[in-house]
Amino acid sequence: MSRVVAAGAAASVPVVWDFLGFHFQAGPTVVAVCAVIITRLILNLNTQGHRRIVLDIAVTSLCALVAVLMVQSMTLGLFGAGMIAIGIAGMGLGVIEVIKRRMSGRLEAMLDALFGTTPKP
Amino acid sequence: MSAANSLAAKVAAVSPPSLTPASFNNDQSLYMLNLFLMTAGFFLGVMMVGKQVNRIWSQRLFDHPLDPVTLYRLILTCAAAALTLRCGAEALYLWNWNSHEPATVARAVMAKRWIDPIAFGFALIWMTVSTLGEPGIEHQLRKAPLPVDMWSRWPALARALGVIIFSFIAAAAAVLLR
Repeated sequence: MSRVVAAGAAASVPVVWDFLGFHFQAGPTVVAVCAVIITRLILNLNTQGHRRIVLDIAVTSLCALVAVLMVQSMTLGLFGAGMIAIGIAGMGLGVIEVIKRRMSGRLEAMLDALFGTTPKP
Repeated sequence: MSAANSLAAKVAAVSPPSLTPASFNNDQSLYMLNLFLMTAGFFLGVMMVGKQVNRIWSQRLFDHPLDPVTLYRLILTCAAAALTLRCGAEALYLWNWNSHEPATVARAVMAKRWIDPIAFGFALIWMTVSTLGEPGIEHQLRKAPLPVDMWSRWPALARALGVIIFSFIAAAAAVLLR
């Protein structure tokens, strides 16, 4: 009896959301968003001075977006999704810095290729 | 100490496939309750540790390390650290549960056995400091304005409440959407 129940429970298929043709596994996606929000709540606990609510919401949305996209592209499980989300939310605005550092080199290379200003070796 | 070849991994590999660890007996709602409470406990403990350590450090020029207020903060820090490690280890195990990956389960369950004694160490420090500092702290606590106005500070719990709510949503999503 219990063996049958176990087999039936294990056979339940994961919920998958389709958005713009991309497959989002529902569980890890929601977990990533929740982990980002929790981490941002904890980190903003002791902020001094006036609260910048709009900035907080913007940074939280950005972190949630990046986390969800990473979870989607790497097809992570529940635990991996939570860890990635906590890491990204911990970086906060640093996410922009990291991506900027990555992008600036690529952008210069692209412009060099476009205008042919690459110095000849 | 290879997790893939460990006894725990072998046991997890031969157990019948299920969505919850065997001790839940396939009770999804009990699994969700544990997932929710252990996650919330971990994050609330982290919040408490961060706050108390921050208070100790920022007031270090005014409060001597052996002042009653510092001892009180140290007691809270160690209690919260014990809660964090205990709940964190359990949450690690519960979130990592996947009957198709015995090595991951074994790694989590073996990490739990090492983290729990450290949590107990923090609990031991908390109780020791509390016992040793009891007379001095109690003497200082019996000073004049005795009733504490607690009930005006409800808004201080708003962020903790948010953590609890979102832990619940995450646990529900983990169980319902899988």
